[in-house]
Amino acid sequence: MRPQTIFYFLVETIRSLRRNFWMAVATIMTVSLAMFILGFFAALLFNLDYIAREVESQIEISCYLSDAVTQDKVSELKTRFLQIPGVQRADFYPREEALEVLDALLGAQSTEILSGYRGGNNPLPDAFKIKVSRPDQVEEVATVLQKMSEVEEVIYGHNIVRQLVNLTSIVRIFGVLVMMGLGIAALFIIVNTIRMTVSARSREIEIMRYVGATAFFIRVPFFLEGLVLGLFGSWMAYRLLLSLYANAESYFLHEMLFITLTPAQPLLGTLRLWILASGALFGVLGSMVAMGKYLEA
Amino acid sequence: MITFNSVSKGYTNRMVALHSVSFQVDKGEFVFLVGPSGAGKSTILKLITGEERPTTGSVTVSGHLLNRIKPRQIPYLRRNLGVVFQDFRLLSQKTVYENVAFALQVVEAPPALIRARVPYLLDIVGLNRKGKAFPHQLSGGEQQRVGLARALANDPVLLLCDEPTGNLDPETAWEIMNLLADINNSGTTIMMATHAKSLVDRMKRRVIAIEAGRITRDDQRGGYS
Repeated sequence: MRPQTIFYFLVETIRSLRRNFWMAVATIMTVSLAMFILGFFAALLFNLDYIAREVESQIEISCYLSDAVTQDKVSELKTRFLQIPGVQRADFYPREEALEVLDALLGAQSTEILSGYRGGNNPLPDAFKIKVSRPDQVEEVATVLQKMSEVEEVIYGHNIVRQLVNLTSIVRIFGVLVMMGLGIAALFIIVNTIRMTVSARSREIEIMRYVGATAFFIRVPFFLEGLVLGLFGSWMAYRLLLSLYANAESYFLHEMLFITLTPAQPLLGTLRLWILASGALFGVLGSMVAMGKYLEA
Repeated sequence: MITFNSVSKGYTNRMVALHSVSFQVDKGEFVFLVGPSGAGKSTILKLITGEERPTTGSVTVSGHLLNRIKPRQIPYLRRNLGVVFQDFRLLSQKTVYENVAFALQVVEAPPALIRARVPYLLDIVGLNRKGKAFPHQLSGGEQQRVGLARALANDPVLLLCDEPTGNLDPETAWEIMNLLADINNSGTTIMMATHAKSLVDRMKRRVIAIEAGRITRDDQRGGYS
């Protein structure tokens, strides 16, 4: 390809964008909005996943032993726990340690309150803290544990896990639906914009065909126009998302003590790539659909 | 240059447009294609430019058999053809110079060649002083000269003219005809579809007459009727 051909393509693309300036602006806005919501849902999903994983990783089964279990049985019991399918770790948590924790929690008044329970009078049971390798195994493992004679009581946060998993999948389904709808809308408006510029230049295209310009040569400016609209729209969406996310991140950091967002990097770095790539794809796809059979022979 | 061998063309929504049409045009000829509207003149021109394909029979243009030509080869066929239209089809936002240069740009001619060739073409059609004018500033005859210069841009071996004088007054039409005769004398084959009886009678060139999709007459030095 000659250098002046590339120059011609660029000039034609810019000229066409300027000629349909407001249409181009509207297209960029729509793409931008679609991409923003797309990115927003993606960021939301990332964070829900992140929180879910965080919570999941903290979930452990507290397995309280019956008083009948003596100290010398502990290591044997640990081996048996570890043999249960799904169990990743089993850590012995002696009653003395539990008392220390309670002591720390009670703070100033602890000495008074706990004075009677020291030494042989510790009322707290020995326990095992058990971690499973996957969160969905929690219930299964808990059931097995419950049936063992050495186990007095099993406690785990099954409701939290279930709700989180449910929420994440609902958001995921909803997000995918919204994204699809918006994607189609963005595609539709790009198709219409390019179709307008194609028809505004139908005379030029006709002459190009009569004098023997190749289909490739005729298509490139429209292709570039779609690419510019898609890329520019998605870039704006990314900038908006970036500034919003930075604010949200600091809000969560300072106001919400228990929930933190995934750090902006690398999340937004990855998102930027995806947003720009899908913006470009939408643009190119839109211009290809718009031209359709228009340019054949 | 052009060979039609028992060419028939049917459109799905209409009756048959051409019935077993055969003729041959040699290099350097000047051929008028005459007949009433809807007789099939435009269909013949479209078969030559590759816009349409024959239903049966074969069309050969400048060595290309058009029955089987691939869409991607059509642009290269058209670089050997020039087309002139009744309504000129100039780009209104471009100057005369740019309109002619455009035909060269879009086939990726080198800039040096464009700079040399456009003034030469404008000189042939007698518009070398109007390069900077826009089409709306020109008379109809001048606009058709620009169309002619553009059609000649890629130095075609065959010039197709579809009613080139249809929008012009008789005097201007005759000037365009003289220009076409000059171009033909320099070796370019010309095929011209027209209704202009007086021009055809005056030119005394080969006439192919068509009626209802059939060739009714093919005279080497004929008149319109």
